[in-house]
This record gives sequence, C-alpha cells and structure tokens, in this order.
Amino acid sequence: MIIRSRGEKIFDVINVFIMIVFAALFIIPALLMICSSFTATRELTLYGYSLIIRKFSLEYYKSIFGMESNQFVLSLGNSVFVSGLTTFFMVLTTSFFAYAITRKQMKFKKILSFYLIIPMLFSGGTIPYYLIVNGLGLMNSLWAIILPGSVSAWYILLVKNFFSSLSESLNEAAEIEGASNFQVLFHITLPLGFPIIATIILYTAVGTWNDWFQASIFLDSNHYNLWPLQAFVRRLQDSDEFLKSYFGNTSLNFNGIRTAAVILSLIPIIMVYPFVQRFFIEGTMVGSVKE
Amino acid sequence: MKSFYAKIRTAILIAAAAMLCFILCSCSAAEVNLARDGSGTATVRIAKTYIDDGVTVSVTEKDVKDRIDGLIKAVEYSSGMENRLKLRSIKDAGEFYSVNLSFMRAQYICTYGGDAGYYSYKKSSEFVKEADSVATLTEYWYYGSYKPYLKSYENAKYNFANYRRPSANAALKPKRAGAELTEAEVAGLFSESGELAENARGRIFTFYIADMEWLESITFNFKGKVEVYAGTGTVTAGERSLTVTPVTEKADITGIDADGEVIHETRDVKCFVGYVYFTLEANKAAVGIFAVLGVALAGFVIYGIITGVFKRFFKGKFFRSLVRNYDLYLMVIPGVVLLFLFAYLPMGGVTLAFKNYRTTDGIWRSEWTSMFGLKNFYDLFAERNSFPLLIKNTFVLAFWKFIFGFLIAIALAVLFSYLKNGLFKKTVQTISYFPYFISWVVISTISYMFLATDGGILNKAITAFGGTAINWYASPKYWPFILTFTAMWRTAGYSTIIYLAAIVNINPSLYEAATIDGAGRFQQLLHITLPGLIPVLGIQIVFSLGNLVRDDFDQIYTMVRGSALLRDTTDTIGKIVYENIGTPSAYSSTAAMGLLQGLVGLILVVTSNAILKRHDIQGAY
Repeated sequence: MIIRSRGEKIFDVINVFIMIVFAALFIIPALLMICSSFTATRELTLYGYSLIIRKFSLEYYKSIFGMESNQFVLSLGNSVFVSGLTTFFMVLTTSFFAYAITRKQMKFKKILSFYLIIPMLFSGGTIPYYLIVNGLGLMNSLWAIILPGSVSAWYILLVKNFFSSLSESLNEAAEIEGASNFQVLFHITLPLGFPIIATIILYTAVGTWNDWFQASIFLDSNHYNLWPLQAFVRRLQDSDEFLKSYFGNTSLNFNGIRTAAVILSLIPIIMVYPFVQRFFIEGTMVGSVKE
Repeated sequence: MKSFYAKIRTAILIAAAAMLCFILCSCSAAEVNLARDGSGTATVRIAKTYIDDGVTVSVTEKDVKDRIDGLIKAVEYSSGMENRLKLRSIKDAGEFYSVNLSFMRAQYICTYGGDAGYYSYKKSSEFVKEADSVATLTEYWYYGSYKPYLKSYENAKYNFANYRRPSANAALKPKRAGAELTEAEVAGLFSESGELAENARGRIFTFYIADMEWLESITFNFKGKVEVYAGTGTVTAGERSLTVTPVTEKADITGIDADGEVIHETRDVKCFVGYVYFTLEANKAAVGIFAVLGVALAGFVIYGIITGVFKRFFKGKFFRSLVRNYDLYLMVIPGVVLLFLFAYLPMGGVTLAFKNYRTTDGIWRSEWTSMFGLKNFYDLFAERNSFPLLIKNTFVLAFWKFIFGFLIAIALAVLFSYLKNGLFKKTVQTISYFPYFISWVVISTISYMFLATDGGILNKAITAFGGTAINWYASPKYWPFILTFTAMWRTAGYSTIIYLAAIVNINPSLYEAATIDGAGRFQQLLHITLPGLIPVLGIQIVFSLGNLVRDDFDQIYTMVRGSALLRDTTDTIGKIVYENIGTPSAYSSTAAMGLLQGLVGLILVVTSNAILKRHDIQGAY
C-alpha cells in the first residue's frame, strides 16, 4: 500500500474534479442535442436549445422518416452499403498485402515497402485526385467512394507490423502440412491478428461513415438518391433551401430537424463503440510503435 | 553525422527522380498530342494593295508585321498561353508579302480573322439543309479534342445565332484530291451521329475568316495527310498541304463605323470558308524508340536462349520460389492496383500544376504553361493577392492545433495516469475518446447550438450577464480560437492513448527509487515521466509536422457553414481547392497550391525524421 502525502491527496481530489469538468465538456453537448431533438417546435423556438425538455415530442423524427422522397432512409442505405463494402475490401487488401510482405519466402519486399511509403509521404492533391477518379469514369457512382477507400498504405503498414510480431512457427507448421498461403492467412494469421483487423474495420467503417467530402465532389446534384447520410445531413445543416426542398413547407423548427438527423446518423457509431473500444486502443498502440 | 546527410540526400534524390520521371512522361505525352492536334506551319499571302469600301489601301511591311503581331497577341490573350502562334518570317515576294507562321493548333490562325462587326450570311442555311452532319463539322472543331463533337448540332446552331459566322454553301461538299466524294464515301467517313467513328486518328479543322481583304491566301502545312477537304477556293498543295483562297459573299453587316455609329448594310465580303479532315501519322521518334527497344529485347531473348541464361533462370531457385508462392504475389495485386490508381496516378496528375488545364484536353494533354511551366506558381504570388492570406491562415490554424494538441494530450495523459484504475477512470476515458469517432458534420451542429446568433447558448449566457450578443458567424477574429478549440475537443481524449501507454510502460522501479530518495510527484513528473515520453513524442511530432501545412479543410468547411464573412481567417488552401472543384479554369492554379502544400509537408516530415534519427531517437520510417 502506497502511503500518500497530504499534498498528494489534495492533488488527487483536484484531479478528479478536473476530470469531471472534462467529461462534462462532452456530456453536456450530447445531452443538449438529445434534449433539443425531443423538444416540440414551439418550445424549441421560444426557449432555444436547453437541457430541459419543456414539451416532449417526436415530431422531428417523424418528419424525417415521413419524408416524401424517403431520402433519409435512402441515404442511410447508401451509407451502410458504402461503409460495409469499403470495410470489407479494406480488410482484404490490407491483410493480403501485409501477409504477403511479412512472409520470408516473398521476394521484392523492399520494393513493395517502398511502394507503400511514397503515398504516405506525398499525395497528388485534391484536384488531380478528383480528375483521375473522374477520368476513370467513376463520377456519379458509389464506386468513386468505395474503391479509393478500399486501400490505405498506412493501414497496410500497421497490419504488417502486427503480423510480423506474430510467431512464424505456426505458419511454417501449417505449410509443412501443405496449407496454401490463403489457408494460412485465413486460418492462422487472421485469427491471431484479430485485434489489428478489428481496429482497421473500426477506422475504415467509421471513417467512411463520417465522410461527406467524397460524396460531395463525386456525386452531383442530380444524384441525391446516391448520397450517403453524412453528405445529406451536411447539406441539411448548410442550407435552408435544401432543407425546405425535402421537408416542404414544414412548420417544424429547422434546427430541431437538423439535430434529430444528426442524432440518427450517430446511432450506428454509438451502437458499435462500446464493443470496439478495446481494439482501437490496442490498434493505436501498434501504430505508434515502429517495427 | 554521415548517415544524417546521407538520408537527406537520398530523400531529395528520390523526390527529384520521381518528379523528373513524372514530368518527362507527361512532357512526352503532351508533345505527341500537340503534334496530333493539328500543329504545323502556314504560309500566308498578303496583298500589297487592296480595296476596302471602294478605297484602295496600300500595305507596307510594317503594317503586315503589326497585323500579325496583333493576331499573336490576340491568340495569347484568348488562350492564355504564349507561343501558340509564332511569326517565322515576312518576305517581300514582289506582288505580295509572304508570311511564314508556325502554329500549335491550326485554329489560332483563323479564329481571329473578322474584326469589324457581325455577319449574317444568306447562304448559310442552304448548306445546313443539304448535309446536317457535314454542316456541323464546319462549325465545330474544338480545341484539338480527340473526338470532334460533330454531333453537337445544337451547339452549331447556337454558334450560328450568336456569331453569325459565315457557314458554307453547296460548294462545301467534301473532296478528295480534287474530286468530290460520293454520298457513300461521306457516309463511310462519318458515323450516323456525325462522329468520326472509324478513324480515331482523323482530325477535323474548320476555318472561317471574313473581312480580311488584305489576305490573299493561306497555305497550311499539317503534320498529317490531308484526307478530305472542302471549300470554295480550297485546293490541296501536296499530300499534307492545303491552300485556301477567299470567296466573295454577300453579307449583312452589323458593325460600328469610325464615328462610333452602328451601321447595317449589305456588302460583298471576302471570306475563307471550309474544312479539312486530315489523318495523323505516328510520331516517328516514338516509333523509332520502340523499334530500337524491340530489337534490343529480341536480341536479349536470343542471347538468353543461346547462352542458357534463361534456362538457368527458369530452373533456378529464384524462379521456383516465385512459382511455388504464386499466391503471395496474387495477394499483393489488389493493393498495388488500387494504390496505383488512387495514389500514384494523382501524383502524376500534379503535372497539372505546370499546365494550363482545359476540360477538353484533360490532365495529360493540356499544354504546358510558359516560364518553363512555372507560370501558375508565379501567378499565385504575383496576381492572386489572396494566396499569402491562404498560406497564413493555413499555417496559423495548423500551428495552434499542433502546439495545443501536444500540450493537452500530454497533460491529460499525466492526469489520467494519476487516476486510480476503476470505473471512474474508465468512464472518463470512454467518454473522452468518443468524439474522435464522430464527424465534423455532427460537431458543426453542436457548435451551432452554442454559436447561433439568436438562441445560441453562448450568446444567451453573454446577454444574461449583461453583455452584447456576438454574431459569431460574422466575426472572423474568433475563428482561429473556435477551430482550434473544436479540434482539441475532438481529439484530446483520443490522443492521450499513446502517451498513457508510454507512461504505463515506464519502469516502476524508477518511481520507487525516486520515492525512496524523497522526490515528490512533481519532481517525478519532471525527471521520470516527461523524459520517458520523449521517444513517443518524437514519432508523434514527425507524424504531425506534415500536418503543419495541411489543413483540416473538412473541419473548416463544415464549421463555418458557408459563411462568406469569415474568409479573412478561415480561408485555407484546402478550402479554396475544394471550393474550386467544378471550376476547370481554376484547376491549374489550385493544383499548384496543393503541390506547394504537399512539397512543404514532405520536406518537413523527411527533415524532422532525419533530425530525430540523428539524435538517436526512434524515427517514424
């Protein structure tokens, strides 16, 4: 048992206090949003955002799901589709690549590692990127978001570092039994490397879910039906006209609708967050330590 | 010491080599394409005297030079590029002046002909009626684009209405070597929609010049074989040349006379109307290089077979290993291909920064700017007053985020480390990590709740304490703070993870020894914890130094909610680049901005990594 001095005890109390304030910095805005989204239009307009729900109402949520064009549900579906596929491809490309360059019988490892490092150091910039994706004929297609999102040099390096920290003996044993590299990867390396794969899944899924930028440059205004959720929600925030075009002459408080839309867009993240927390902590650690 | 400089040198060499490679590649591509797109030379015959409105005018050599200079200036002005049209020589040939010009694209000679008013030609519609597809092509040769937009008949009509260009008459039927083409032959040349379907190497060039009474004829020398041509007074002068002489047509003139009065009249106007369709020939130099390469390759193969090098190679260990592990090589394919498409191709696309982007030409075929391709960069500093402001904003915002990012992360990590492991610590951590996973769209909504002018919580608080409400979205001076604060809000908790782990990994015996020596917590912090964080801090600095010139445009763009009043402090390079997507005329200059940004970031990362390694601190790469 460590005996704490008086000063240390005072420090600990202050520390706890600081932490409470710190946590409040995050909790209060969240509560504010939640409460506002459940406050009826009249009260919200009169009293503004508040932690007190003066009159409970589900009207904003109802209006979002009652949209004539069903845009919200469409966008939700697009987001699920894009995030799901991107994550799936990302796991495949990263684990394949990383596995290959950690095996000792692989040739050209140096060249391939170099091939990974260059994009991390230098990128062409937004305009060339936009023009290239455009030139590949991906405009106004969700593949413009999925395909570029399905690879990341940085994640490959992360996974590579993790894989190379695993013992080779199991792999070799499996190979002596006649297992192919794909079998070794799927039956041995991937299960052992699950923490890092889970991290990649989390980062990719959340990153894609949260992204509005790609959609806004690759999908034009004639293709709102393809828009993922964040892009749609962002346009709702930005422009009253855009909001009106979807909600008609609604008598509801615009900001109420906006908060409700934002909360709905957060639900998937909130749902998976508790389960993946321990993985991303581990994953971040891998990223910070050099091989 | 030695390795430090060696590292820097290697990095610079690699960067330079990559740069050179990209530039050479697209340089050669551009050259090949320019030749294809109708560059060549022209000989222009200019009369020594001509009759204008019944008055005989004589032309001196100086007049000719002035006219041609004016034309070159006009081309420069309207194309935004220099050296598109060059004067080679003016010769006095007795009866006339012979002017030799070289052009990058043939239309530069012709488009700027008419300079006195607008014309409507009575005969223009006849031709249109006769052959739609052929009529459109006389009107629509488009800046050397690969597929002439022959089917854009609507556009052609548009041109008729607006510019009243002299179109053609029935004599504009296509000819080949002096003989008119039959209907079937014409049909074979063009697809039904009027596009050049069969021969992708064919180029169409149309010309229409009017009111150049002093112009006697133009001889074009193309870098390709003249296949089909048309126009009154248009004859081939050899396989690759075409001579055009003017015809006289009645024109309704709407113009402005010397006194500034608007005049309408019908008069005879000399004009050149016609078109030429020529096919391109392969670039001889390219063919030569390929031939040499092919011969060399064949030689190598023969040599390999004869000496048994191949046999040894295919039976050797190396090749057997490749075959046995073929699935490993299959595995890297998706990553290699995707990175090539979405990381390496855009890197090649930075050549855009040295070019004058045109939608119809695309990245690879657009032309290089003057000043050895550096004009865009020159213009950024010379003409765009706003660029220094963008640099400043980008840097200032990144700087505050950089500094506070580290301070807050380390301070929080230390505070976390003093919390007892338990539910409280876990809860605070869980809560504080969460914002990292929400998008800027969400954070923008949250900040709006606080910053809204009426009903915003901050303003409510300010007025409750007797202050005056602030219109946050119209007051640029607060925004560096707001943006830094929200960035910190988002990442503060998450960024502690690494430092917290580093603190946990510090050998506990160090602390025990310190406690026995009577060192308090503060001294332990100073002498054990903080020094223990330095290696991790080093790597983190390398990673974030590159960010010092990059901007979270994602954040800025969503946070300012399109407010134009905040531009003074929130316009950063990334934001401007984003705003210019969809404005092709700005692509080159914004690509130049992006390139500068990326280069400075690259230099920062490579140098800082080298410095870290020099001081024996683990680097990032």
